[in-house]
Amino acid sequence: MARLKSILICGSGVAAWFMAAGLSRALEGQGCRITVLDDGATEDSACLGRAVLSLPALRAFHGVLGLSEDQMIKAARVWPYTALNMGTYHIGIGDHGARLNTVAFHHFVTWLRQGGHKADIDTFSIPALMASAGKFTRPVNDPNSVLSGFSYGLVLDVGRYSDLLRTYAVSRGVDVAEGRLTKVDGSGAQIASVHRDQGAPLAADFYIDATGEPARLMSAVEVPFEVDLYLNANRILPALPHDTGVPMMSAGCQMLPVMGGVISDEAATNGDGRAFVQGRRAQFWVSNVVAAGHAAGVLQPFMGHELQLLHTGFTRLIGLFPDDGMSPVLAREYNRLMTQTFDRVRDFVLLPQVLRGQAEGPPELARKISQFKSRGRVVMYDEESYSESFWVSVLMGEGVLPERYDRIIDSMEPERLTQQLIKMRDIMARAVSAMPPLKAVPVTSGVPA
Amino acid sequence: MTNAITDIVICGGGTAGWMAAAALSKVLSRDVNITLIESDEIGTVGVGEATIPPILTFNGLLGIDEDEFLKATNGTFKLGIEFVNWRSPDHRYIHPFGTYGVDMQAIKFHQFYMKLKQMGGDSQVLGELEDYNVCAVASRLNRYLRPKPGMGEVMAGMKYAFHFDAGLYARFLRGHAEGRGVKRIEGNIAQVNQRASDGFVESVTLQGGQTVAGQLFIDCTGFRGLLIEETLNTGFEDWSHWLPNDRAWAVQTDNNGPLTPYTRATAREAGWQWRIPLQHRTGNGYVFSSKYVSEEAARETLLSTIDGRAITEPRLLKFKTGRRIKAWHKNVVALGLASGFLEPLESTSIHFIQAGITKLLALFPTQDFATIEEDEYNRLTRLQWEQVRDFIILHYKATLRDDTPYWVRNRDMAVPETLTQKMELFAAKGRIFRREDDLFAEDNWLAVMYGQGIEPKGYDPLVDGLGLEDIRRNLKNIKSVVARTVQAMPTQEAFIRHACASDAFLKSAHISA
Ligand SMILES: Cc1cc2nc3c(=O)[nH]c(=O)nc-3n(C[C@H](O)[C@H](O)[C@H](O)COP(=O)(O)OP(=O)(O)OC[C@H]3O[C@@H](n4cnc5c(N)ncnc54)[C@H](O)[C@@H]3O)c2cc1C
Repeated sequence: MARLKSILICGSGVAAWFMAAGLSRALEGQGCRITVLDDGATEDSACLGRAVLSLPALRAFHGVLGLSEDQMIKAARVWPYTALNMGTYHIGIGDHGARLNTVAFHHFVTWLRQGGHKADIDTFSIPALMASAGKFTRPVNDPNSVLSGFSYGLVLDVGRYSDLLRTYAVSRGVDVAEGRLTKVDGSGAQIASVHRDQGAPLAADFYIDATGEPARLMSAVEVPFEVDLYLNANRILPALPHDTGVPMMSAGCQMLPVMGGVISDEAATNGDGRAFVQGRRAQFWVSNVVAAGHAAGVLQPFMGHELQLLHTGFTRLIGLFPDDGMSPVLAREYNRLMTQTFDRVRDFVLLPQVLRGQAEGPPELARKISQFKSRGRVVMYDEESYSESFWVSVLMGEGVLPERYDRIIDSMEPERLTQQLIKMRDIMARAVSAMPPLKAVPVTSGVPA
Repeated sequence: MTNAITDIVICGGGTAGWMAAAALSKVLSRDVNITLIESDEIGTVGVGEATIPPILTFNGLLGIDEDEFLKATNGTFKLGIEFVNWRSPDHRYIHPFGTYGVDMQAIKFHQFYMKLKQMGGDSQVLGELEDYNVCAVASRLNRYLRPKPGMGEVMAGMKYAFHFDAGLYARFLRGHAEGRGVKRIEGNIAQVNQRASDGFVESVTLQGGQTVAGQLFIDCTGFRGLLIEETLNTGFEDWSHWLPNDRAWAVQTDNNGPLTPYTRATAREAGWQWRIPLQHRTGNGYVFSSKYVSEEAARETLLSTIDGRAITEPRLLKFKTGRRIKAWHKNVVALGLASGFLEPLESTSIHFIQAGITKLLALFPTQDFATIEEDEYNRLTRLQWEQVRDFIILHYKATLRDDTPYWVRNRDMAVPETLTQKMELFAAKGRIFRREDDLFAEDNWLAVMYGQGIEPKGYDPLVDGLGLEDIRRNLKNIKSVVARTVQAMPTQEAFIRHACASDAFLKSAHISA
């Protein structure tokens, strides 16, 4: 068994260049040739909107590549955000309050409300407070500071982000093949070669399908697409110009500081805009091909899952990196992990719709909701991409109030506890009001042209 | 809350019963009455003396002072388990707690080790994988030092647990529980009384006629499962086709030789033998399958292989491996042996009790007993049991032994698909993926898969991205820091004498050693 000598990435846009950039860094010094062959697609291969949100974890990816945030800000019209505005509440990136006596904070909110107090969980969230006050500062490292429990993501212009990754990959020796992809030769269950409209067919030890929804390589090896049973939106219209500083999501409409889109169903749009079908491939890796971006699966825009799924897929691929023996064990493990990852993200995207009675949910999500309703317990399955606080924000924000709080609270002194909580809220409010405005962040203007 | 539980009855006063009493009385509000019933006549199993690191969390929850606890239970420190004769006769390896080496560039440390090993070269310089684990190296030299923050990267990778006297542990917890108002009743439960409408347990009646009522019953009555099985008939999932051991002989001996900071598990012709050293004595036992060796022969084997003088008569324990299908049913939650049994090879039973209590608190019911609480508890419990089951089966499946029918059978058995996948991934390139609730982390799986003789055929190709010289230098450096760190530790005996010696320890002979 020998190391892989060549990888061919088919496609364009964010999925293709994300993988190219990542692989060029991870396989540095291993003599593996990485080539990208454009498929001629006009739509992006991983993002439906013209802007996309990232989650904090993506910074680790940029860190490995050696891309500084300043570089990104210059090149990709980047805007930081700490919370997604959901209309009546925020999904903040970070903790609510602080743990007291090992009890998760949201139990105290339940306790306060049951005791007749008005308690809005947003007022215990630094990132939510920052978003609603239009403030921004970077978190600090000191665990004792109230400014340590949050983080922030970036709003990215999809086209510019893709170009940035492309420039990076090419500067590190990734080849751009001439011509466009025309036909895929799948002999048996694996890819044999890829044809193009000019030049000889290309062959490689390993392929990455970044051709977006058509998934031209995955289709060639006959991996079926499974339509999601619960998510039905299938159109996105480009968003109108607007000047929101904080990403917003309301009634099927996503507005990002650069430009998002209006998500809806076909009837409402008279067939305009970009069509899509939500769902995922039955497998993500078969024999010598791995799918990335929309070739792997499609979900309507929400809070950063597009890049998160690319990143997780990339990390897992590196963790299970094959040699030319292509052991099926690796693909099996990759598929197990990524199927769960995808489905748990799908649950998160679906959650507000289910809570508003607009959609049904799978049993895993039903369990999450009923456990929270009864106990305030957040069930976390294997391979969750969104941590507890994201789920709590949506559940409470959509009006689910647990019937009971953690019993440990009953062993605490109620008067003192109430005072402590009020004090906590005041400290948070003061900390946020002292922050500089978001507009003061030195970024290239994010208002759409 | 109007329909809050106000009366909890714990049936059974073994390790499970008193752990539950201590934890519930600590966490729940003072208004909840907790009663524990135990029978002197029936007694406890009296074994179960080795633990794993999460017990420190349990002690933390109870606010227990560690040294006081060790003094009271004749406790010692445990840095891992030494497996003797498991891979093949005369082979030994340590499954240490704690981490191997230091990861580099987000690549697991052992991948670098595998690369150098597979390249050949000076095996003397490279050493064994164990040389990079501080718990393993300290075990070999019988050293111990309690890790504290600020002691450096090597010590930060050190984890430990305890060995203790099961009887004294229950007594110690009883002190805590009674101090917080738990009421203890001595007596034999003769009858369990169910509500006619739905079969919920209403009360239990003791032999003398006294009736104890409650809303929540915790069944800690041992193997029989007086409430959960004998009353509610929840059923048992039998796992003995994977794990056929069904008996154990247990005997205590005098301490002999240096005090080892680890449990020893020695494979025998039809099972394995434990050795658990405490401050004042050593616990021993032979866990075996009665299909492959007679009780008499097993007793002989045990008595002829213990390394100190026997100070008790050998005692025979019988069990069946598997789990209660519903550890929580109606208003009964089973903890300890009443909830099922997995052999003590990785010392997980006491942890299951602790994990059960934690889950019960997170899902604490009210008097209406919503089924979603019961269902979630049972789902999580099943996941955890299955993961640990796979880990235990691994020790039997991955073996080169074929010297007795018992070992041939183990080697050839069909194992759960989840385990096969894990073993194949490791065999190919040393990869390990942990499942989220898995009690055992990557390094635990590594220790046992590698120790049992699964030798990865390759290594992670990403390792090639780092220069060979850098890798060599790093490994050499880590190995020597680990060695120096351990050299600077006191022996376990010296540490105990200084920090937590019991009266029995101070009186016993081996301190002169
Ligand atoms: C051979 C062997 C080795 C083990 N080694 C380990 C180990 O190294 N590490 C580990 O973590 N675990 C180990 N275990 C498991 C561990 O011993 C048990 O998990 C632990 O002791 C808990 O036991 P228990 O409290 O559930 O049951 P028991 O100790 O059996 O207690 C049962 C209690 O119920 C009471 N009772 C029963 N019936 C009645 C009745 N009718 N009326 C009133 N009271 C009643 C009894 O009086 C007693 O108090 C081992 C087990 C065995 C069999």
